[in-house]
Amino acid sequence: MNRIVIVDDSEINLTLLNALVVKLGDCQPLLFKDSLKGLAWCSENLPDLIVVDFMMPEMDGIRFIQRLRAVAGREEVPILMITGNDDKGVRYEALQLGATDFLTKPVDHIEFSARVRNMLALGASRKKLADKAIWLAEEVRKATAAIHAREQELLFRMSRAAEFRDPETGTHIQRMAHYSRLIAARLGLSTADQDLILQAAPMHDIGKIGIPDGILLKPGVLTREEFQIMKTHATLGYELLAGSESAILQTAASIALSHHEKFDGSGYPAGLIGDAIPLFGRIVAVADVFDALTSERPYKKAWSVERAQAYLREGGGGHFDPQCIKVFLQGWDEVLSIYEHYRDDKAPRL
Amino acid sequence: MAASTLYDRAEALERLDGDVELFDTLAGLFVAESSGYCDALTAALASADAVALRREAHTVKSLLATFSYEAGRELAMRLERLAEEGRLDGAEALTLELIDAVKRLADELAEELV
Repeated sequence: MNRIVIVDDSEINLTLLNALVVKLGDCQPLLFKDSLKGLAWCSENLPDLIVVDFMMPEMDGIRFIQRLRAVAGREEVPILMITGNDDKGVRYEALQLGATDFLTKPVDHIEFSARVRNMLALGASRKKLADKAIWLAEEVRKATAAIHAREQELLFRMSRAAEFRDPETGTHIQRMAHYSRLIAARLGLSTADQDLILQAAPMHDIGKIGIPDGILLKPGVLTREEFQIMKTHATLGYELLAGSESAILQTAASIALSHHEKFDGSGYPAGLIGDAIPLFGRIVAVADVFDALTSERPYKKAWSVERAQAYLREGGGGHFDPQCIKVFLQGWDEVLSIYEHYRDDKAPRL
Repeated sequence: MAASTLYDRAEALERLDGDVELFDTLAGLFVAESSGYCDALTAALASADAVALRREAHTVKSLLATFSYEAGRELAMRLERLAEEGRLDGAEALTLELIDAVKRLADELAEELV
């Protein structure tokens, strides 16, 4: 049922217009003799159409239109203003202030019916369009979310690809990614940066794809020459990931290149010192080493978390950024929670 | 019913889709309110209130047009324009003519409703 508001101070006009609206069949008239009360109702309730007279004592039709159009959500409701044939100036002003169309007096049932039907159809089309816009926005949001989820899955599987030839497990990259996010959060980085490191950190060792099996999978200590080759996985990872427009891959490239740098400059590949090492590289260094120490490997048993904690504490300022160590240790409860949640073996700890 | 010489009943009815019941309702309202319109015109003239006179003349103009009383509508239009310009010279005669037109229409409609 279409709700049609009629605002007119004349009882005769209200009676006439009411009867004409009822004759339409699918319309419910709502009558207001007081234009201020009519305005108040239309501000709180959304009618399908408003028919308003021009000359009214409390507030004339033009002011009514002007004030109603200023109410949020009332910019588009169709308004028919009733004017005399000789009121051209009034019509122009009403049009400028937001009248949709006019009804001339004396009101004729044919013209009334045609104009009202047209206005209702216009209103219905607008509503349909607005609904469609909302629906489309939701579809776009869903599609974007789906694309994002696919991207994340792809990145995770890419990271796993590097781990496949390495004895480390998939849960390693999940643990170290969460440790990294924890450090980022405790350093006060934005939620966006926290999410970025969570997604990019797993790719830190993807350059290992380019390391020969004989070196990568060697159970014993590497020779000097073998270690030099092993170190190239940092730059190989960077070459693999750099040049993308994706923020995640750009970040991953930086992490791959810098996560073996050491705070005191004794790391590789560039021997960067202190703050010259990208922050994300400094963060991932802590996360990666902690997880490596507390994980079982073919060449070593897993360390206990307490022993690993002590190692990190000693390494602050040397191997590691002391600020990263500090906040990592401050979040120890959460570290343990991550450690337990993503545990993949039950081997005794040293 | 003999055709009125004052207003065009057929034309007025046609605008209402031939709804005699609606016409009679509107006619009854006009008859009941006519003295109020006349008093309002008189008061506006007496207080030399051009804005009020314009508003009352405009109201009466539309009502007389509803009943297709063309001569009365034209009187109201002339008074409305005069008042709109802020001129009240000549308004008294015009107002009295208009009041007379309202009363004549009310009388005729009242007779027809009986």
